[in-house]
Amino acid sequence: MDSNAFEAVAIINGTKVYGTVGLESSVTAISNISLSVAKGKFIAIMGPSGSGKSTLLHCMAGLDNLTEGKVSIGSVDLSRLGDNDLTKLRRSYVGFMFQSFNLLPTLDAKQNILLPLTLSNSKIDTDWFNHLVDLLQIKDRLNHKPFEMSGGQQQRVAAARALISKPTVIFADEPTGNLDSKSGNSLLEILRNSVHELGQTIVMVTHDANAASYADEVVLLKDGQIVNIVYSPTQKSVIDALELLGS
Amino acid sequence: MFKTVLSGLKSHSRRLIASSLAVALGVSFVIGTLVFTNTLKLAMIQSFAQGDQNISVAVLPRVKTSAFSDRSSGKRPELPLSMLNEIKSVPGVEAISGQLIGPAVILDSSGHAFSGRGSQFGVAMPSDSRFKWIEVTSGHAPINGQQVAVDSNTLATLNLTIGDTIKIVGISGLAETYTIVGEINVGLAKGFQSSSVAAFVLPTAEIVTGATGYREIDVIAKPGISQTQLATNIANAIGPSAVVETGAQKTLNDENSVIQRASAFENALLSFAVISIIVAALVIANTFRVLVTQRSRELALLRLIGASKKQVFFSIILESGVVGFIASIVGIFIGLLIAFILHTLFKSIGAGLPSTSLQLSLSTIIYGILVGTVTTVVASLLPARTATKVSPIAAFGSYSDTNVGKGFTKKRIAWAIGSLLLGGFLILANLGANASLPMIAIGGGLILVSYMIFGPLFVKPLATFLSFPFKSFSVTTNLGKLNTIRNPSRAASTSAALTIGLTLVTLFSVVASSLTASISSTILKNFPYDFIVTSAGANTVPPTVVTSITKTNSFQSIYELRTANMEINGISVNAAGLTPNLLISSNPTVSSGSITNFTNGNSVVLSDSFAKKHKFTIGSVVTISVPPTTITSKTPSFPCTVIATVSGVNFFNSVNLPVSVFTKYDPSIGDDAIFLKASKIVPLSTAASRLQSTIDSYPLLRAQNVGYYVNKLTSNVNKALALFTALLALALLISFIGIANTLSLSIFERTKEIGLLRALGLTRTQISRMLKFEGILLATIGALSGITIGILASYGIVLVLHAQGVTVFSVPISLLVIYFVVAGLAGMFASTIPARRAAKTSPVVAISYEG
Repeated sequence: MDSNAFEAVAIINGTKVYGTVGLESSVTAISNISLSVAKGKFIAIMGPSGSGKSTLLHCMAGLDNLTEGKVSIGSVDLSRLGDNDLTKLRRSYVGFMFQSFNLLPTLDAKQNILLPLTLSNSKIDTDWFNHLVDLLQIKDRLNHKPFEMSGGQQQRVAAARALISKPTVIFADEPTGNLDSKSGNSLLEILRNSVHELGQTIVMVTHDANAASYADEVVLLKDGQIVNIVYSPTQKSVIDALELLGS
Repeated sequence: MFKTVLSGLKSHSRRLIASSLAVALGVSFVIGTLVFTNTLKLAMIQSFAQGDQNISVAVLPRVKTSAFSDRSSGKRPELPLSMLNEIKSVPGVEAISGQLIGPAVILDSSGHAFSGRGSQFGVAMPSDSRFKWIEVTSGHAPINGQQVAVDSNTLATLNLTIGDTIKIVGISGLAETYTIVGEINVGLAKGFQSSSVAAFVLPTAEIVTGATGYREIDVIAKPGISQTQLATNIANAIGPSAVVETGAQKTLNDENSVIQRASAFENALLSFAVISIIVAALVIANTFRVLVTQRSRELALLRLIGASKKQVFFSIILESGVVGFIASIVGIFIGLLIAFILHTLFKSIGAGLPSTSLQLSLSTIIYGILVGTVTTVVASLLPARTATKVSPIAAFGSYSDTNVGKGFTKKRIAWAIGSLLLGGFLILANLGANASLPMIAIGGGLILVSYMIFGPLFVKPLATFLSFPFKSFSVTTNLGKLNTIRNPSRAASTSAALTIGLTLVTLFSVVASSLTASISSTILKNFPYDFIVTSAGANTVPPTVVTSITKTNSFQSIYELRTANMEINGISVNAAGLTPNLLISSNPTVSSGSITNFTNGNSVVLSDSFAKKHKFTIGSVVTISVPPTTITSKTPSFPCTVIATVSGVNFFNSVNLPVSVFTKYDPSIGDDAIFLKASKIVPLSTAASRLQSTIDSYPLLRAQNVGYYVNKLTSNVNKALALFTALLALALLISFIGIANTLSLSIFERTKEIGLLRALGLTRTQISRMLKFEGILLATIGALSGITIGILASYGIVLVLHAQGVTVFSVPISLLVIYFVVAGLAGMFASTIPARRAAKTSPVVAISYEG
């Protein structure tokens, strides 16, 4: 294993083809992509519809298998793992946030947050839990079921769930997609703080230039390949880069 | 609209498979019953016709008897033996044969009563082979008193062939040896069901069976004499005491009696089929309810673009109609298979079914399609109404699975309580002596309605209670529990299907167990005897045996019990004749009068309920008549004084007479049982060996302890219980299909959620375990409710039956625990397929899945 100790997640020469390779009906979603995300970094992935950004996220998170190439999280090579080991890896080393808030409707906020720990039978770090619910301002919502909360509150609960196990990396798929701009900005603020202050690593897919501007780097995808990287992005530099992509 | 419905059906056909299967199984029960009984009917009619084919005139006792009537239920008057010669001399008679039938028990090679088949009969071989009610299939008819012809099934079972010898015990209780000279064929249709039959020459048959008359006399006319003419001649000769029928009339009458008898059998089977249909209807209703919820967005869209409420309603009804129709067709095929299996099974156990191909008539097919389609449409009425309430605005919102549960409006609660009370009243009011089955069924239906309304209230506490032992297991069981109670009304209606089946099974079990316990407690408490002598099969202990036992001088008490059909002031009853001390020493609860004078002849002790029902009072003189043995013999009747009424002891009959009365008016009746208490001056073992050597010459007699006698009395109860449970098996199977169905439907709507759990780190095994636990919970909730309702209901029934002698309420706990555990395991089994599908859910598909 030659992985860099400072690397949280990496994909090397990753290709994903849907359908049978060689057939005309097959679709190449990502093609020979290599990307390494260092620990403590906040990366945004952008690109037009069909550019392969969601596929890239799924493959990096070990939710989907690559057709070719390999992915590693921390020092673990995902291509060597079976379904059970992948599942166990996700429990402890990967956090998720989605556009639809994806909380379990039968569990209350606290149970939803603690679910990854319950699943892996890990001890609850009470200080960390209290810190998170303070940070995310959901302390008075802990006993509420998802349908009793607003969208912003639900997404903050999802964020707390992603952070609770101190995962190696959090994958976020359009986390602000269903939020109004105020809730969205406050969530992005929290995500950025968790990176800069707590050393969390986040990989986020978005189509919103404002959301992307909270990241450390913005990776631009087109036709399944990385075409540009914007460092220290601002909303304007991201929009410019996207326009360049379109032309 | 129809096109929309069809495309809708296609798109979620997978979701409808399980519920269609439920309907198909329900229909198959109906079809299987109809096809099987129709086949049976035709086979029996043909067989009768074959038996009757050469008969010109048949003479029968005036009292109408069915060809199937069981002789053990009592003696019927018969045609006197002398009538044969009387008819023989009528002009125009060419050949004549009397049907003489009585008990004759064949012994196996070890000298014990052959018990492999049903009842055992001895008959007189027809004098002429043209009389076909008994046919020689190989060898020849017996020609002297040492020869016998035996039915082929019995010979095969005993491994005997023509030329071998066989021991047969007749009315005397003593065994005689005969040589087998022929094999005979006696079909079910000939009234012997699966009996063993031995045919003798007439004089021997009279001696062996003790029969004093003929059940029927058949005549063949001389050529040129018409049936009607001969019938008139015979009627003129013998007078009005007997019925004279022409051969054609007899064939017709036999056919009618077959149809009548088969209808009773058919109705019993159909009532269990109805239970299966009701359970299937619940499964269908549940499916459509879930589908309507899942498709609320689609329905809202239809409304938005201009579909009226009526159109939405009828689209659902049309859909259910198509599903019901297809399921019915499938059900007809499964039903044919069931009928085929039953038919083959009946043949293989040698029930003597004449071979006929399965009878599937057009009316049966139409009936099956109607039952299946109408049931499905009716079951979808409520869901269809719910569908019309979806507002067009819902098309904009996203479908939410969060179900807070319907509120308990005052109207709903009033409905629930009203139907519970009315249902309970109907059931309790219609139990007992003048039971009305339809009213009880309506009552049961009403209680079911209230259960459906109240059921959701119990889901959460029950699920919490049932998952308590698993609490330490892990997060999967907890998630399973939460999933079960998230939609209590769905959980309740899913488990309700199982509740119905288990309520009935529990009801039968508890009532059977109470009956058994009542019998044994009464006997053990009131009859402290050392031995009981009984006879094998339906035979009785010959009257001479008591004399022999008395001669051993080893017993201080020798009490007899016998029964016979008699009439008291014209009311037909099964009366008991007993040694007076048997009644007195059993210390029954005397309600009125006194039993001390029972020893005097011509006194009668009545059961409390019987006396009340027919308004007999203490001191009144009643007329008891003993049915005549033949139609021409005198009917003995004598006055008796009612001296007491007793209650609480169910061992005796409604009417109890001193045994001396029996002996006086019909000395041929044997004892059902002889109760013996050993004398104090003789060691028990000596008494036992003396008793054994006394009854050794009577191969059918057994001396046993009391426990064995209890078993003999209760074994029929347990057989009936096993039969009921078997008939409910299909309803239970359907309810488990319902559980599998609900689970797979909820997996469809929870795909996203299951994917999330996979992404968060639930392994495939854990997902599958979660769903299996849901299956277990649904099944055990249904089972626990069913067992509870069943126990409560059977308590009511036992209370009502108290006067009939069911004095003990006994709950067979270990049996109920087995039902519960089996239900849980079956629930787990039912969830296997949905669980496997859920475990395959990919986390990616789940996340991107548009709900």
